[in-house]
Amino acid sequence: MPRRVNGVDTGLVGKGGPMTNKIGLIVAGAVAAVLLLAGGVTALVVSGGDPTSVQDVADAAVDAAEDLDVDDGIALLCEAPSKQDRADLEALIAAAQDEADTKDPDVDYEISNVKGEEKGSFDVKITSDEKAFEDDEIAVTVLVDSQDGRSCISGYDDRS
Amino acid sequence: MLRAAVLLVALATSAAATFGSGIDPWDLAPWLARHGGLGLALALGWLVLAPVPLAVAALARRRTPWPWVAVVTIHLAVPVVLLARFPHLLPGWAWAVVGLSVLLGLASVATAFPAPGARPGS
Repeated sequence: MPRRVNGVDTGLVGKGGPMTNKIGLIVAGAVAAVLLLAGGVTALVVSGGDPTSVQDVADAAVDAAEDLDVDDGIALLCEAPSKQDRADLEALIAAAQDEADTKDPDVDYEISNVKGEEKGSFDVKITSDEKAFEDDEIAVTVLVDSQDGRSCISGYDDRS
Repeated sequence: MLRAAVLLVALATSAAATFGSGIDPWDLAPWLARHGGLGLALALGWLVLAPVPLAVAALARRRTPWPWVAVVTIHLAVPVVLLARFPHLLPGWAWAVVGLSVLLGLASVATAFPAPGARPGS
């Protein structure tokens, strides 16, 4: 109940002292609504696209690689990328850019040998039409695990 | 008291993200920014540096509670969105810490506004 002083509503809540007032409660409610909205919308968007099979992971991985979308790429991993993983990827990108003499080398990804349902593996062959890479080819077997009904990339074997 | 608790949890989260997560945020955030993950880099940077804006807003609260409200809103929204986006990448204790942060943060916002007639900052 709001406290009244000399017949005037002070807006104070509770029977104790001036701990809080209506404005504080309204603002806290608005902040809670913002959090619910932000978390809820994000969860809804993400849950709609959760990969649940090896094929889903393969398709999403190619999409993320073609779009150079780090956000989507990280979401496909079972664990946050280690410092060594990042250094390896950075070195690979730098070497490719250096050799092709362009920031965005034209690269093709070919998926094959998809094994398993929720967990398993798939092969990726990475080729390029760039003159510098005409004779080069990277072949990787990507390992897929399943965590809480979600398929994710747990590691890879370089076959090239 | 509530503001101090919010700051304490933010400091603990920052220390855990920096030293205990194994992701090395000082290295990961610039790496993400360089590779198109600017939003993610900013979110990670906020987790580590949040105690600074929170402390500044806590000091400014003697004049007005709104900086505290704004900073706490960002401070709560960042981990909530990260948790919703990457639930499988964050450790189990992150859920408990975010829950505690949200409860303390909302309580601190609710009590940030001085009662009518109360001395500002009291």
